[in-house]
Amino acid sequence: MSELLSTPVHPLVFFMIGAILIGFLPAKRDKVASLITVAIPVVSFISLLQWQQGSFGFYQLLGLELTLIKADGLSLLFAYLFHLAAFIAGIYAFHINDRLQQVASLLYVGSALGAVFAGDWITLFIFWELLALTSVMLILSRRTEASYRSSMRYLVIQVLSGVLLFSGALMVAHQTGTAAITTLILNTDIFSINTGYDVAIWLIFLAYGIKCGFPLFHSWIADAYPQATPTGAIFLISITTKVAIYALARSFAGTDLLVTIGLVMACFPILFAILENDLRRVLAYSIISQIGFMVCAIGVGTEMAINGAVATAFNHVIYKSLLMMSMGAVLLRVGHVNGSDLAGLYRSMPKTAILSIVGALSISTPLFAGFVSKAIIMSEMLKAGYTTGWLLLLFAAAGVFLASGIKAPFFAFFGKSSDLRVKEAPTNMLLAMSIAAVFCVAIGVFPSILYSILPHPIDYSPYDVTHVVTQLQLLFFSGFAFVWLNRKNLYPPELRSRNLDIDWFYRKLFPKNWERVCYFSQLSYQSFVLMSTKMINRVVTGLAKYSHPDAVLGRAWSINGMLLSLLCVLLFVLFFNYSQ
Amino acid sequence: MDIKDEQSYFFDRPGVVKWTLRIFYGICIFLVLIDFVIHRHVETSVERLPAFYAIYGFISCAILVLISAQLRKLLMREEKYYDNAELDSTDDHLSNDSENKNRVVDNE
Repeated sequence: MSELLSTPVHPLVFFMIGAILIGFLPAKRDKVASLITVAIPVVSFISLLQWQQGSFGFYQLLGLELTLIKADGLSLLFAYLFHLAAFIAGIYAFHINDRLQQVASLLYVGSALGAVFAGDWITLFIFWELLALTSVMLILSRRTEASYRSSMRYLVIQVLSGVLLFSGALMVAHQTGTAAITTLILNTDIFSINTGYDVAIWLIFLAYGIKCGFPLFHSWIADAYPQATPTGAIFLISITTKVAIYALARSFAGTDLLVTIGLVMACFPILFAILENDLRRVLAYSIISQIGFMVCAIGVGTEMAINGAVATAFNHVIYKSLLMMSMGAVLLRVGHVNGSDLAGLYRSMPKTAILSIVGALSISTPLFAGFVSKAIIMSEMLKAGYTTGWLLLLFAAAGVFLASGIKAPFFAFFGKSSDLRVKEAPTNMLLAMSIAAVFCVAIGVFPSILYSILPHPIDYSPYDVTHVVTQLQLLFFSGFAFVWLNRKNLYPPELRSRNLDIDWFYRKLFPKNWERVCYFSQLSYQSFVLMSTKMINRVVTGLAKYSHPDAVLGRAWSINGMLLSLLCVLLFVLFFNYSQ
Repeated sequence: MDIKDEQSYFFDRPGVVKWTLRIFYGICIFLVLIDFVIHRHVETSVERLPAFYAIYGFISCAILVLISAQLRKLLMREEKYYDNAELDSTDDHLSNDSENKNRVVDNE
């Protein structure tokens, strides 16, 4: 009994109870359902605060010792983060009365908590797939044709990641005899891979990479997030990629390849963010860029760098949620978030506009959240000797501020004068955004709040004259570039358009050619059937013709004729017998 | 919406945008000048360049924008590009089917 009491309650239990309660609520109790979505993270968080570090909930499956909960600094930090994100997103979604979304979002957060506490690959895999199945509901709930198609693509990619993880996990368990999650050494010399163990590690690495949005696997982020419901998108951006960051930090810290991958992720998506018209997709691309920073830090792999990566993940969830929430409010009120057809919304949504500016500043301005965590990554990159990498991250920092910090709020809320007049965002949305904004400023001004919960001990102060001045120079001159390029008409105008990305291959090239392949195979099959029918027809009519009572096969033969033929055959056989 | 109402919005008032930009330029100039006054500790050789971060930030953004403007020529399609493709493909599929059926009937 005492053992039972000392075993902590898995937060997943609270979220599942919440989901079941909402599922069985009478139809008219919409406010109660919303209240449950907000209350569950709070209750679960209070229970989580009692936790000690350690492993609990051992069970056996497939002959393997599995661990349901392994709590340490890293997993607890992510658990706190997901509770905070669920709380803010719950308030943001308070006005909706869509039980599907409410149940799905609770289960989604629950699965994420299951994944970060998983002590072994098999448990991780189960929650990894649950993440996919629950989150896809938040895209489906938009209930449009486009979101339906996008959600199916999303589901296929997410499940593929799960399948890779499971294959890798089983192979690792087979080779080592244990499925416990450990640090893995990736064999980056592809030509020397000759053991199943190396292959297994690559499979797990790819599974994480897909969920993380590695280059070439990133298109699901830009495809699915803008198709989600305004409220569902907040859950989505906060969770899936962050679980992947957690998993990478747990197993692949210090893998050099990650620095290269992270740099590509940090720089390239910004080009797309600058071009993109759908402002939520602009944010989706800048999410990839920000994840690039974290991946770089994990690649560096020192304790401080890991601190930087998870601190950035923490702040990123808050400030990107804030930006996404402001765009979600615009989407709710205007019906779209196309930069080309928005302008001057600060007139009708002034509070949302101010809150989105706070979100923009929080990307990397001193006194706001992003600055205190990204500074760690930058200094660790230099300490580890990646000078070029550091320059590229600086480049990306300036660019991402331009794309998601200046561009998105500018085109939505300012810009050319417009007659667009809508209502201000609902109170619950403003409240959620305000809470996120308060966190952004609080962490920025008192970074020790965040630093105290980081997994490794930290002795770092981001606020010295050099840091503040250089960062302000970088950002102000990014802003100056934006103003200057706009004045010179060099800034690409917002146009109603789609920009091709990797998804072109599976949305256009492959289906188009698949049609063609299907068409030709169908055609050749049909002509084959036609030809064979003709031939069989000919044989049958021929046989019928010659079997006619008067024809050669059908008519009665005379005995003389029969004997003569038989004689000929026998002579023929005799002749061949002797001729040998 | 009458003219008086329009005037009451902050950025619609005459001169506000101009002054906002002037303040912005002022801060930019101040940030460059302060670089010569304060002593900032440097870790790489490129940082020794006066106002390195300002120049780098400006050039980075300019390069990104100019590259993406070129990239747009290559990558931009109309808004309904994928929608059309998806709808077309289903239409194509149907029309192909009916055409094939006709063809078979003709051949027979």
